[in-house]
Amino acid sequence: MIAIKEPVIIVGDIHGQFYDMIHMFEKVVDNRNLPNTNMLFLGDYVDRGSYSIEVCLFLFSLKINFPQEITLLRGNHESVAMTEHFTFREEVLRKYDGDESVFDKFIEAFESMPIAADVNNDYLCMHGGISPELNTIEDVNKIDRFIEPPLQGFLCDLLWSDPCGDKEARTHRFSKNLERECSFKFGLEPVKQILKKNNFLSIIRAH
Amino acid sequence: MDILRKHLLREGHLNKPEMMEIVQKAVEIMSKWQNFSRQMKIGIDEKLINGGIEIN
Repeated sequence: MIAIKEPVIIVGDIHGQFYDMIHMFEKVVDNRNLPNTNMLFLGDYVDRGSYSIEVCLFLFSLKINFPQEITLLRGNHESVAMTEHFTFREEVLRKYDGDESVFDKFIEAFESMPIAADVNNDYLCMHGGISPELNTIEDVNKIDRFIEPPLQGFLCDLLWSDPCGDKEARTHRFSKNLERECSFKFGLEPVKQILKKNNFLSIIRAH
Repeated sequence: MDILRKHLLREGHLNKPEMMEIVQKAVEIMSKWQNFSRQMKIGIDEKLINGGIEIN
């Protein structure tokens, strides 16, 4: 669990869209004094778009230059399984002459990314959503994040879960996430419980 | 940014060793993040929690 202070700009999925990301930076960030504004990225930097490498290198460069101000959370696409199924692995091998060591280095970077963030003690942030195994935010600290995310369990849920639709949200607690074929859909009540127990105002997620 | 722009415009490719160095540095920084317990915030320097700096 990473603690982040306000002011903070929170950014969701980028998915290899380098030009959109640069446009976002020009619109949102350049008018502010970046060293005094934190930025939290909620994961899914790679796959789908054609410039995942450039997105990662840009964000890593930012992280190296502003290590305290930039936080890169892990998304469900920052994994071997997803990058092999979608486009990132292919992109790396195509652009770097089939060099698997380049792909492996990116995976090492993904595995070092934290899973969740606490913004100002008010907002709980993660890529996917909550888990039946999440009671207190200290539970997140027990996760070994330096692994390929499993297809079930706490780490999987934080990266993969989704909220229920509006109709089901009031009646469901956790139900199978059939669209994703893993993890859960969560209702309003478990969200309320987690917010109350940990004194948060809200959950901020992407996915 | 110039290197990335050239790479995007196919004016040249990002030097692989340089790129690996960027990723490796990011790995080293991000790997340092220790698990963070909210109780640990009590009494720690403001700078330590700003941006989620490493907490041992």
